[in-house]
Amino acid sequence: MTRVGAANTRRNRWKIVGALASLVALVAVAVLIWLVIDELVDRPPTAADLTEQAGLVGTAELRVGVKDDIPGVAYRDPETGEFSGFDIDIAYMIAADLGFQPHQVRFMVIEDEDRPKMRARDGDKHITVHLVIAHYSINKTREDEARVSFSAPYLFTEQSVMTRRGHTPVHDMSDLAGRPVCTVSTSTSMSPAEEADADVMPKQNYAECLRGLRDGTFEAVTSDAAILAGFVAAEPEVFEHHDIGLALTESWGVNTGGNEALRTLVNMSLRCSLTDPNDRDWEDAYDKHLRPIEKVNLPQPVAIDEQPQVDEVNVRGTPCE
Amino acid sequence: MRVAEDVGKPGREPEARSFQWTLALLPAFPIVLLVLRLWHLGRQDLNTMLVLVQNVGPLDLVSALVISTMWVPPVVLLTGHALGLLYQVSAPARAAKRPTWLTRTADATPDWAIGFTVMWAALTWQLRFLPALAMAAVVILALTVRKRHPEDGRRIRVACLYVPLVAAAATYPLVWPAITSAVSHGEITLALVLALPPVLTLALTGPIPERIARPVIHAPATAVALAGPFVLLAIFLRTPVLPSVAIQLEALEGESAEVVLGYVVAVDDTVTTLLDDSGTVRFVPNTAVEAKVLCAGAESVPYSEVDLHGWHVEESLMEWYLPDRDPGPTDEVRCAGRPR
Repeated sequence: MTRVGAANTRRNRWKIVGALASLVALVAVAVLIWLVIDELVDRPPTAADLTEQAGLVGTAELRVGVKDDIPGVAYRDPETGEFSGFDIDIAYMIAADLGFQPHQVRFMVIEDEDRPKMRARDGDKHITVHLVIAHYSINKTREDEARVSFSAPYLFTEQSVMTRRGHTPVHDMSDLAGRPVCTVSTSTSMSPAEEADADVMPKQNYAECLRGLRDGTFEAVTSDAAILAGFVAAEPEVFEHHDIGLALTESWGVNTGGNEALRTLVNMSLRCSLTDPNDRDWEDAYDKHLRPIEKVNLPQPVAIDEQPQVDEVNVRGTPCE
Repeated sequence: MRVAEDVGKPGREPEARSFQWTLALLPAFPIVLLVLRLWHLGRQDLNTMLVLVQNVGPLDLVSALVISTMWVPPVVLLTGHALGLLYQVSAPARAAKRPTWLTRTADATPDWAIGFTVMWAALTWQLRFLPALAMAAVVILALTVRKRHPEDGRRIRVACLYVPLVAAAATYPLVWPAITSAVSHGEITLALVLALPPVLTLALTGPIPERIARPVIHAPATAVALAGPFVLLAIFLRTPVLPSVAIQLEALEGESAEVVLGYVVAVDDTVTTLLDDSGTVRFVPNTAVEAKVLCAGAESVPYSEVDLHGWHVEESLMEWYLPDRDPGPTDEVRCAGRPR
């Protein structure tokens, strides 16, 4: 082959390579355009969109199902009717992020068995609440129920045991085997007590358990540590808290009753509280209601004093990100 | 002039007729868009649409149409022009023998119009698309030089190699902080949109294989041209054309105040006419109005968290540079339908 011929062949080869590169680049541009369009079409909703989807636009008050008989967690002063406690402050925090001022939040007492149904007593009738913030532990069985959709957890605690003061130390649930132990019928503490062959006596509420514990009907009460801690702190000379060393963590979540948009908004509120260094609502709630009762409950920790992790929420323009 | 010439030539009649059809449909399209917008606003109810037609000024609608679609003409012009040039460069003989709508568009567009369009795009396109604009401008320049001076190796080298290299060298340092920020926020598409155009420019300044040039260029271009009006319609249907307000009504005795949400259609001496989200028209007596609040639309809420020296990637140069409205309190409860 002549030198000119070889040069032509080389040039032609380069031309082919160049043409193919251009073709590939054209395809790349098309793919890029497709990606951009896909992202523009599939834009996540804004908080305003979710508020509308959640049915909160035009809602005059946010109805929150809470407990009223657990000091430190959710307690209603019988004289003033005022609610206070960790759950109550968390409810105010979430309500504020949903656009409700404190006077627009209506707390309604909800029975444990009504938490999945989102139905709370209102005078002589039951009405549906928007949120249930009532020391509701997240677990698989509950998540499978029709009207249960849990938010991310807002508190980590564990199961423990409370007895009358002076009781021999309870290091393990098996120490109570064959003994009468009270728990609330819907509590997740029933299973560990039953597994340890304790004589479990389920009651409707904690007041009945406390009454039985005082008069000796029950030897112990088992439930979440954060719940029992309030009772021990209220009467430390009467009751005593025991650390039974259960590894299982109880994660309290907010039930949004199957309202997915509302669940996302609640998670956004929890996420903001977690990630925004200026937002100390969760920390203030813990410091106000749970930290002061830690000492009197030793050796049992009340709860983990850090807010649980919350996954990033897919909301456009999340205020705290 | 070109149309008149083409009409006379044998074999060009169908194309010329098609071009005339395009010219006839072009002015009709915005009118159809505006009417459809009103129809959609009234939730497809003719009576509601008539109330809107009676009260909504054409200027209101045209303003909304212009603002929401200002970025579209440069997309159409620059993409069409670049593709037309690419076909002419890839298959010069075929393109000369059998001109297509793309090549005719490329031939018919003067250089100053392309320059003006690039400047228009620079003002109206969001920051994230500016590297793509630079790519389009450099590709058009390179292909124009290649088409006009096919034998001038030096000019082609400058336009097709050196200019893209200089453009890439200038672009990367400018957008690099935004690229790294996009990656750290997990916004991969944004990172690609910012980072790829300068590299792709280098490969797009040359011809593609001649044999497949026509289908590869024309098939997607035709598909996009056909889908374009519908995309525009979808964009415009989502554009607000009436102000969204919350009106707090005076509380009746023993009842709490009511807040009405909707879009203001008209205000006269006696009533304020509102259209709510469900398409219901409501006439609120002016004497019952206690307060009126303008509510922010969700359209302005950005998706990305990335900015470049304070210039948010979803803002155009115009939006960034011109003074914008103070966003105001976001916790206006009346916009959520609750009285203050």
